[in-house]
Formats: sequence, C-alpha cells, structure tokens
Amino acid sequence: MGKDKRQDKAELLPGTLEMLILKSLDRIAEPMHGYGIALYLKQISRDVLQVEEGSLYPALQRLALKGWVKAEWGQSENNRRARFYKLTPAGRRQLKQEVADFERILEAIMRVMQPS
Amino acid sequence: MINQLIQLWRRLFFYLRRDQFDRELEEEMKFHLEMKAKENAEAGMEPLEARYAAQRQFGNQTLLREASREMWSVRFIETLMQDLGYGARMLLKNPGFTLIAVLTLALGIGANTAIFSVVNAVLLRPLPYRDPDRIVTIRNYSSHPILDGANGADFLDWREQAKVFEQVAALADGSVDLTGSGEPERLRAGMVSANLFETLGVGPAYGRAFTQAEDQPRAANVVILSHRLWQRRFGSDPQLIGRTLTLIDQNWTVIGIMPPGFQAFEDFDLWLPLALDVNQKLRKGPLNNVRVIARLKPDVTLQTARADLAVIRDRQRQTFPHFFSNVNVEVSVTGLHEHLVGDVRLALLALFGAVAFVLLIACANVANLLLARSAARQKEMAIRAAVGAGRFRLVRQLLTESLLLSVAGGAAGLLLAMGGVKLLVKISPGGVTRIDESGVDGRALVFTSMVVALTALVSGVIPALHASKTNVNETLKAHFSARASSPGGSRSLQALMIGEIALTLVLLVGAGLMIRSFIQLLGVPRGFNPDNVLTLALSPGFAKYSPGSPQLRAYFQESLNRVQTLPGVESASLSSFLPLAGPSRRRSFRIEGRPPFEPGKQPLAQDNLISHGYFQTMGIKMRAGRAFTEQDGDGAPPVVIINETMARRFFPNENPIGRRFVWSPTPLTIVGVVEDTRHFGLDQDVHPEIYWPYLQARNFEMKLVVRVAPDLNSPAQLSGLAAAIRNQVREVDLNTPVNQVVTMDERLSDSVAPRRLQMLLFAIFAAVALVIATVGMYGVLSYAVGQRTREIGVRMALGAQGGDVLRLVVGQGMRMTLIGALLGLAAALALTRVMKSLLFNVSPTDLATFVSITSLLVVVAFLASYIPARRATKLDPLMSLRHE
Repeated sequence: MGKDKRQDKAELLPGTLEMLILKSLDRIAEPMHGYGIALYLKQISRDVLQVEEGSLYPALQRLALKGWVKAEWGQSENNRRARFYKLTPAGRRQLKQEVADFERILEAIMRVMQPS
Repeated sequence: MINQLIQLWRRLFFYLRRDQFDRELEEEMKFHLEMKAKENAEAGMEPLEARYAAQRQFGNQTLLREASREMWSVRFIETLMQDLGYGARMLLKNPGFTLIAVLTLALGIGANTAIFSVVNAVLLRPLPYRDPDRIVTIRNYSSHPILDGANGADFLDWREQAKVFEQVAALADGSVDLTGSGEPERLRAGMVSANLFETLGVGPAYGRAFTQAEDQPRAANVVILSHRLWQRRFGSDPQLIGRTLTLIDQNWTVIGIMPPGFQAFEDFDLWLPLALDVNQKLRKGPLNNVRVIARLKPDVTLQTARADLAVIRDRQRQTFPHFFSNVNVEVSVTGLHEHLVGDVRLALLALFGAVAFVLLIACANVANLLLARSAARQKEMAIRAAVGAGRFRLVRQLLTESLLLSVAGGAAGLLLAMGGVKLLVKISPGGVTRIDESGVDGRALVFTSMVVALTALVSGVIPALHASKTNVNETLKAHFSARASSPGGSRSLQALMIGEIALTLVLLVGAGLMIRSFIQLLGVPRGFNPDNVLTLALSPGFAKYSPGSPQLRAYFQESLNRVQTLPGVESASLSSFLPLAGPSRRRSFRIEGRPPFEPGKQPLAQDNLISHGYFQTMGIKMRAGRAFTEQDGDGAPPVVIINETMARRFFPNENPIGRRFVWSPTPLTIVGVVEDTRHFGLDQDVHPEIYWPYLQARNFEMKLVVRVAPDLNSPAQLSGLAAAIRNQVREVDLNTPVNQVVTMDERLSDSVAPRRLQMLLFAIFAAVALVIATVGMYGVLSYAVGQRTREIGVRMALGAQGGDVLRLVVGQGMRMTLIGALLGLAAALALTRVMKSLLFNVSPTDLATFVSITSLLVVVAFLASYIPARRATKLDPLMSLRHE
C-alpha cells in the first residue's frame, strides 16, 4: 500500500470523525456497517483523510449512546452477519448543526488564512 | 435534562447486557478485519501479510474495545458494584460481627416499621370519605352532665341556624333484634339523619340512601345494611333490596347496602332513619345523646365555625335562661379525624419516640462495632491509601459496608415488622380506630427504605470518617512497632457509648414509669371481688318486653331462678350496671329537709338497680346499715343504698342511714352504705351512686351475675357452666337472642388492656435497648482491653495486681456509665413530662423510679464491664509484652 504517499494524507481534526460518519450515513441513506463506512470515507476523500479504521468503532458507540445512530444486525453483501448503522432523526438534526458549525469555523479560518 | 436521563437509561440497559455487547463488538471488529484482509488479498497480498496489514490499519484492538466500552460505562455503578462486592466479602469474613450488627439493626428497624405501620393506619391515612378534611364533629362541653355532649335539640338548632356548614347530620347508637328466619340476633344499629351518608360523601353500593321523607316520625320502616351483615347473614343475596326483614318484631324494607368497609364512628351492622317514633321503639332513648357530624363549606375554618356556633349557643342561653344559668357550656368543633384518634395519638407518638430511641441506640452500637473494627482495619486502609485510593473513595467503601449492613438489617426488620404488626393488631384493645387496617404496605416500605438509608448514614459516617483519616506513614510504621491506638477513635467510641447509655436510661425510665403506673392501677381498691364471677347481659327485645312491664320482670326473675338452681352456682343475682362497664343512667335527686340545689348545680347520681343478693355475689362490702332483702319488693316501703362517695359528699358529718330523698309519691329511705366500686374503670373516679331494689324500679336491662363455687375453677368447668347458663336463659324465651357469658376477670383484664399493652410495648422496647447497650458496653471494653494489652502487661510487670487491672477497666466502664446516666437523667426529666397523661398515680419525675432504674442500669453496666476486666487480669505479662 502507499506508505510512500504519507505526506499527501491529513490527520483528522479532532471531533470531525463523528461528523463524517453522520454525513456518510446521510449521503448513502441506507444502513451501513463499520467497514462500509470506512471504505466510503476513503473513497470519497480520495484517500486523503487518514482514519485509523478501528477508531470508527468507539465513535459509533458514542453516536449510538447519544441516540444519533441506531444499530441493527443484518446480512452483509456476502451473506455474513454484520452490524448496520442508520441515522436517526435526532442524528440528522445533529448533522445539520455540526455542518453549520463546521462551515462557520472553516470560513473563519479561511478568512484568516487568505492573503488580504 | 431529558436527554441525559435517556442516556442514563441507555447506559443502565447497556450495563445489564454488557457481556452481549462485548461479544457483538468482537464480532463486528472481526468482520471488519476479515473484509479488509480480503480486500488486501484481492489487491495481491499474501494471505498472512493481508491479515497483518488489516490489523495494522485497524489499530490497537484492545484499546479500541476499551474505548468503545468506556463510551457506555456507568462509572458510579461499576464502582458501587466493586464496593459492594468487596464490602460483602469483608462482612462475610467476620460472620460474628455481621450477625450482631444485622440483628441489632433488624430489631431497631423492625420496631420502627411496625409502629410506623400502625401510626400510618391510625394517624396518617385520611378517612375514607369525600374531602375528609372538611368533616367535623360538633358537641358541647359542660361541667353539667345534662348539657355535656349533644342532644337532638342541639342538632336541630345547629342544622337550622348554622351558616358555616354544607350539611349537618346526626347519628345515635342503638341495637335491634333481628328475628324471623334463622337464629335471633342482636345487631348494632346506627340511627342516622337522612343526610348522614351525603355528609360523609359515601353512598350505598347497591340501592339508595334514605330520603328526607323517610327520616320523619311515622314514616315507612326502611333499613340500610352494612356490607358485612349482607354477606354474613344473607349470603350477599343480590335480590335482598326491596325485601322485608323482621326487626324489633316489625317489618322493615331493605333499601340499600353500604360498600364494604364503610364505618361511621362505630362498626354498625345496619342503619335506620333517626326519626322520633323509631327511637322510642329502640332499646335506648338516643335523642338525648346523638353524635353530630357536619361538613364545612369550602374555605370555612374551624375558628369561623366555632364563632358561628357560639352565637347559636348565646341565643339558646337567652331562650332558656333558667336552664343555662350558672352553667358553663362550650361548643367544640373538631375535625373528625382528630376526634377519632384523639386519645390514641399521644400513646402512639410516645411509642414511636421509644422505637426511634431503640433505633438510635442500635445505630450507635453498630457505629461502635464499625469503629472498633476500623481500628483493626487500619493497615488495610493504609495500604489502599498508599496505592492511590483517595479519602473519598475510602469513605465511600466504608459507607457502602454500613449500607450493606443496614439493608440486611432492614430486610430482616421487615420480616419482624410483618409479624409484629399482626401481633399488635391482635392484642390491641378495642377502640383504636382503624388499627385493624395496619399492615406493612407501600408507605411503610418507603418509610423503611428511608430509615435504612438514614441508619446507614448515622451508623456509618463517624467510623468511615475516622478510618479514612488514616495517616499512611504512621500506620504502616506503627504496625511494625507498637500497636497504634488512635486516640481519636477511642474518644468517638466512648462518646457513642455514653450517648447509648443516656438514650437507654431515658427509655428505661419511661418504661419504669409505665410499669409503676400499671402496678398502681392494679393496686387500686376495686370495691368488688372479680374471682369466680360470671356475667351475662339479659336484654330481651322491647317489642315484647317493654321497660318496667310485668313480662320483663318475669323474664328476669325466671332467668334468675333457673340459673340459681344449676349445680356449681354459689349465688346468682341481678344488676343493671356492672363494675368497669362505664356510665349508666343518671338521676338527679333532692335530700329531704334541705333546700333544692341551685339550677345548673344540680348533682347527678349513677343509678343501679339490683336484686337483693347482689352485694354478696359481687363481693361488694357493706359499710353501714343493711343490704336489701326479699322483703324490699314491689309495694314495700321504697329504700335505697348509697355508696361511700355519695355519703361523704352529701352527708359529710352525719349518718346517712335513715335520711330520705324527696321522691314522688313516697320518699326513698337510705338503709345502707356500701364501699366504692369502680364502675368506670380502675383509673377513673368513683361517682355518687344510688342502688335500688330492682323490683321497686322501672327496670329495662339487667345483667345476670353468678358467683361460682370456689372448687369449680378449671377453664373447662367454667365454660361448661357458662354454656349451661346460656341454655337455661335461652329456654326462658326461644325467640330472644342470648348474649355471651363473660367472667368478671375478663372484664377487669379488658378494662386495663390499653394500659397493659402500652406498658408491655414500652417495657419490651426498653429491654431491647438495654440488651443492645449492654452488648455495646461489653464490646467497647473488650476492644479497649485488646488495645491496651501492652500497657496492661507493662503495668503488671511493674507490680500491678489483678485488682488494679480490674479497677482500671471497670473504672473506664463506670466512668462512661455515670456520664451517660447523668445525661440520660437530665433528658428523662425533660422528656417524661410529655408522658404525663399516659401515667396513673405516678409523677413523671417519680424519684423511686428514677433511682431504681438508674441503679439497674449501673449494675448491668458493671457486669458488662466486669467480664472484659476479668479477662484482662488473666493476661500473662510476658505474653502480652511479646504480643506485638
């Protein structure tokens, strides 16, 4: 695998992983298992976002505790038992909120960084 | 907030299924890794390499699992579980300590729960009526017996004139004979104004209530049955409404059945309208004695109601000046609940106070046990502190242990309480409203839980704070040199012990006063001899045997004749009024040759009709003059006998024999004086009394009194004779119900039952307290001896004798006892005053009781300290020096 391309990859900003998971679930709009979410994040970010894949799982547990996602066991594509997560209405509201916050911060950062 | 609650709920739910969670997380991660490995393999890696790569990219699985679990964890529950587990192990390791502590607390908590259950049933629960807070009773209080209470006229005045009530209703007691089908039976009847049920806000379960028209003289005969009578006598027959019953030899139509458990004052079997004509057919003329219940209008206070009624009383005073002059009459308006529990409240609260003391003593004792033990656990605490347990964590650990103890004590106490309440209800004397509804219910459980929590805190907090104050360095060092005795710890120990002794003394003094009261009560001159006397109330129905009629007289005479001839009967006679039976008919009188009494100051005498052998049968002694004879019959010159109180009060310096009462048509001559007999109860004053030959008076209800031959005293023989007496009386008239035979000893025992129960409960609680405190004293001193082993060894090595050591230890015990006793005496002096009305012929600061109780406590404390002291003298100085 492309260890040599490490420089092109970015560590995630703290706290953004959960937002990304919510966003992925929102985009796909159907239940996904953890591996699927990892795969999706990688593809969408074109391998830029470097996620330690296992860290998805504590994050998913936190989202479940908050009631933003709901977990259910089901059949995977290759007929294995897998836990699928789906967005709850509360999760959708939370995502909207976080996206808004994130954009505000990003905008602020961009303004600071832009040459005047 | 709600979100947090939901999250807490999810966490708790998760906690219960944490094993499943672990399994699922494991499976989920494995799935991920396998998928990844497959992807890697498809990208051309070796299978092994593919798996490793997947794992690398995944990260540290153990940490991730931990992190995931941490998301859900409920920290306090997990620590609590740890503490509980650890605490339970510690308690199980010391079964002796645990057993004593749990038993002590079980006694304390059980007694509190039991008494609370009774307090709850009797004092706290609202009455089962609509808006019970607005229901009041009204009556007059007057020094004049005729105006005391309430009569029909008062009731009508209040109902017509008072503006503060929605409803004013009246109720009178009576009894009626049910005949016709089945065994004839005497039933308790409540005669009520039509609006009584509406006033209480409870209607019949079936049928209807009385109408205003039915509550009139000469209205149709209608009756409402209690649920219990309907069930018992009529098998819950749904067709009963509209049928007729034979009551007082007349037909009465059943119009309603009350709901189960309905009571108004007494537990009546049935209710009749309170209409004048009806009353005259009944056994007692209730119109001069009714109970008045009213419902206050909303927002009317008791004060307003009293003021309104005072206006009516003043109007009565103006209308009947001769009647009210010189007489003080106060109208009282009391909440019905207050009225019903009035007398019982103080007794119950005193008991509640007593059990609270028992619990406090139990708590102090357990605190002492924990303190003593925490000294032994200092090393353990120091080590825990050394490896990083904070003080808070240590306190929590120790409190958890005392919580475990008190929960176990509470559980055992609940069992005790369930049995205790049943026993209390069974042995409780009659007349305590709703005590039979006591039980360990939800409210009692809530109360017990609170008591358990409080107990854990009270008994645990001092030892916990102490133990956690451990100085790690000192303790660990000390343990390897001399044994550390924490001076602070033993100071708390002694302070607790002193408190325990003080509380115990207060309880013991309370119990001592009750016991002395009871002894005083039994020592009161009774004025009759209850041994071997049987009694039977003869009360044939008035319909056939009207008062004063020859038929009634014949009925009494025939019953007397039949019973007198039974074998085993020494003598038999009749009396209208038995000792200890409460008030009888009262009569005003005038003494010949003296001016009439001023209106309003008219004295009354209790009226007692007797047959000629009565004084002998009942064992009442003549003081002067003669008893009645067979010659004092109908038509003979009318004669009476008075009691000593009457002789003293009205003939203070003269011989009453031969004096006469003004009476129409012929004056009554006093022919004798008898000793005072306690007719109202041993603790009640004796009233002036006049005895009449029953054949010269208009008799209405008599008691048959039978003195049994002294050799006939086994219970089987007595009950055989009682049955024979009932059979003889039943044969006089098969259509008349016959009452139960009661011995005078039973009447005596019943009359002192409330005081006996109070005394017994107090004595039991005080004894329990004494036992707990004794065990505590023993424990504290044994512990002290253990702590001072080395010191004692040194002293003995330096030449101290056994006696010196004995003095040392016993002296410590006695010092605590004396300080505790002094504090206790001061507290008792202050507290026993509230018991004043529970006592009889004993002052609340009775010197003899205080002295003897204190001596008892000191002796017991001496014994409790002597045993550990004795053990200390047996120490071998060499052994104890090597002990460390």
